[in-house]
Amino acid sequence: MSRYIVKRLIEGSITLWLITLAVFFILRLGGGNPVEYMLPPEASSADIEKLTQAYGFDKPLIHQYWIFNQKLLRGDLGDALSWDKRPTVRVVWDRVPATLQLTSAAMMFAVILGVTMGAIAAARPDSLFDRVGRVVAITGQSMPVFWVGLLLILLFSVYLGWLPSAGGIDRLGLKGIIMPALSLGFFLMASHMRIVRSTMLDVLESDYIKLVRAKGLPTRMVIWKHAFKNASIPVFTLFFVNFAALISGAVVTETIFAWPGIGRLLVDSLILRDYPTTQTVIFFAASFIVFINIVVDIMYAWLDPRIRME
Amino acid sequence: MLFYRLLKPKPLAFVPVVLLCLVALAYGGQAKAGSQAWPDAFPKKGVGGVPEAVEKLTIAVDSWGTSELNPWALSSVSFLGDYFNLRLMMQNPNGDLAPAWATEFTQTEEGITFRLNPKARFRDGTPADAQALKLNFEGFMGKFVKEAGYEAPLWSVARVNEFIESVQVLSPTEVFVKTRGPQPTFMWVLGGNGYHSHWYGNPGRLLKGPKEYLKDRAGGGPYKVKEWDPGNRIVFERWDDFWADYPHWHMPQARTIEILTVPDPAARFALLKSGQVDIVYNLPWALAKGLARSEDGVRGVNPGKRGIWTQTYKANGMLVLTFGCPIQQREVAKPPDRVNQAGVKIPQWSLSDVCKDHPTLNTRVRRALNLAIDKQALSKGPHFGFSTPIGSIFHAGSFGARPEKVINPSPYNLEEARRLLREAGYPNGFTMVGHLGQFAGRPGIPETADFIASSWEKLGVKVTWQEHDPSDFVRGFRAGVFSWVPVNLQTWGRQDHSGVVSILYRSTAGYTGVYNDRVEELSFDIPATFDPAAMKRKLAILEDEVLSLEETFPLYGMSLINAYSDRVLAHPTVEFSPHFKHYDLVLLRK
Repeated sequence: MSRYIVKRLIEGSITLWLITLAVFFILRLGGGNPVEYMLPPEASSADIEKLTQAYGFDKPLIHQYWIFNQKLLRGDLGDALSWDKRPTVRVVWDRVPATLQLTSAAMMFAVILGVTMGAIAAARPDSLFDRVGRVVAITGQSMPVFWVGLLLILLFSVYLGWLPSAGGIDRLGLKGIIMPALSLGFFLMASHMRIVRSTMLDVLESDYIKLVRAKGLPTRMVIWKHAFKNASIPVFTLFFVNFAALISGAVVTETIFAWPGIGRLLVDSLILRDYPTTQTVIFFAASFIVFINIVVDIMYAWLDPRIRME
Repeated sequence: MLFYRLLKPKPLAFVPVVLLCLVALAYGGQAKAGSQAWPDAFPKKGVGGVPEAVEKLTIAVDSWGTSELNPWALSSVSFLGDYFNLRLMMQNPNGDLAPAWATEFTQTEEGITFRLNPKARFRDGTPADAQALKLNFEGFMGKFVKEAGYEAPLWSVARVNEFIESVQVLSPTEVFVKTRGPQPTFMWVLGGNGYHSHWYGNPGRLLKGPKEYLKDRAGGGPYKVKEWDPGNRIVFERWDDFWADYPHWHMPQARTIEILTVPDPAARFALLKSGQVDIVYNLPWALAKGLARSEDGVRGVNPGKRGIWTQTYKANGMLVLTFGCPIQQREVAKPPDRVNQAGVKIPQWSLSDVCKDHPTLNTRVRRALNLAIDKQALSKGPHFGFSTPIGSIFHAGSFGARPEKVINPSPYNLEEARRLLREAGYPNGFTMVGHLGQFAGRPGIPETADFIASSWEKLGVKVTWQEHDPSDFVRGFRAGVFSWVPVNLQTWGRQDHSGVVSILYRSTAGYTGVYNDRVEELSFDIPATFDPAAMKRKLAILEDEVLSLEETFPLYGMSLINAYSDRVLAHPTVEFSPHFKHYDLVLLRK
């Protein structure tokens, strides 16, 4: 097992380095001189030239990449071109708590509601609960996140005046996270519900469940103690995949609710052509996804002894 | 009132004084096209039940420019500096030039002398004196980049160095800036008047370097930065010992101002409707059309209808239709390796395939395409009356804009347009691709593109518009990609002095308008004098020359709407502005 973990960590590091290489060159080869994008229309060619030299964008690309790698080895991902010229690591790190808060809240809502509804729907196939659940699931997966968000704002902020709608927890307190989490979580809840229902239905048809039922165990124990454990592997996967994806940016939700997260930072950095910040956001997101994938692989190996044996 | 003093007793020294008076009157005259109600018709704090102080004012904006606060290192324009840093002069709510850090200035062909308010100081107690001003100018010029540890200078460093040759302290409150020749637009670029892009900070903090400056800016403005989350939120806290006591710039009523960036317009409006914010900046026209307008009474004063009300910044930008093929055809015929009067290399282009035999090379075709656009209908329809059709390349209310040109857009005549196309040999029209950029704070552009497409379809001309990210669009001009396409929709942000706009009509301007040799020559001639009458004449000649080419057709001036909750009693601010201003003058009822 430890050899497996070390192997995955090495593979993950190589993956991350390749990602930095790809991002570095894609941003620069496709986009030209970022200074030309950054400066307002009235900037003169002399201004562009001076700023280009100051930021080192006049150097050959390979030289720029060499400097980038030297800094990377020291843990320095450079300073932002905007954002008060702060170190990009700090710019990104300042946004991480807001993103983690939103992601965690959305996932909690999605998992608790989605898994519960999916399991109950699977235990009572074709019942009224199952049918309503399926409609809710399809609705959740069909409605765009921004639409759900705006509807929630209209109802809870404008008409009822119960909940605030812009800014993060630091500004609004816990009340501020309810609508963004619901908006984002609604879509995720639907996908969790459908996958749990589907896998539970398969598991509930298996022989060992029939045996357990024949032994006279209550339905509650059959579902939660015996069936759910085997149905949970794909749910785990989905949970971590969604979590990792959200960390890298729930852009639409963050835009609607003015949530100060990483998704908005990425979009704003791209618009401003702040290459160092863009690279750092992507590096951070990629690191997180690689880490999550390693964790999931390790957890699979722990959950399923057959994988460990392989 | 501004007081002008002679520097040396020369016989003709009185002339600049007179000319400067004329500048002030001319500029003031232009701006006075709007309301003169301030301050008389406005409520005052501490009077008539208006509280002397309130706790908080909250504002939602779509953008505040770049998220940077260091005035010596801005990488683009930012609108936040007004609240915690200094400007030399400023506009009062009537649009008149008014004192700020400087109480007066005199300008000659050699340079400008500023006289500073002796009460001015920074929040840490250090005097905001002549030496501080000198250091700020030198900071803009990039003199302290290495020694103070800045990675890069201010974005406009080259331009500032084109304006300023040297700075000299004459006394604790007097500074002489030796300019490189006459610089009539100095105050509009560096001084803080109109569209300003330079703020003056505390040099004692700035010289400690960018990281130290972030810890405590100790500026000289009415607020200090209490909380700063770049890109998201800023909270200003009132400086209770703020030194200025002008009618237009003094201790604000609100103890704190919180500004949030909320990119989505519907979400911004929801914040206002639910009472979470007091002011929303840049409310979409479609949302604003049904709301009470303060312009129906006293512009900027709550109309008293117990609900959301609005105030409009007019002419914050403009949209023009430009045809690039004729310029390309002119330019390729010229010899290579040319430089302009400033010694800057003029880009050399080759004739693109698309422009070689393009219909828009024919003047009648371009004229027809313009005649087919009903600008009044565009304004009343998709723009809900919030844009103003114009016939000028200069912004309404700006110095140099001729009212008779501004308010007279080119006519609409579909039959004449069809006749011209037939004469030009295109009775059945043709197809082409057009380009536009969607700029924040410049509403109405995509709707205009759709309107033009459907207007031209009546002539059989099919245009497919390609929308670009604004940075891509501007960069595309600099790289020669969009300058030479058959048609594009270009937009320029407001400049209160048309001398600044005239520079956009140079071949080396980057994001450039149309030009020929005469236009290029005029664009250098205009800033060579600061005689306002002469400048206005030259600006008029340049405008007539540009319009006579029939390659650029002004369409409309845009407006930006501030929407206010009923808690806001008044927001005295200018009628014309490129972005938000004077939030420190907002008065609230509680």
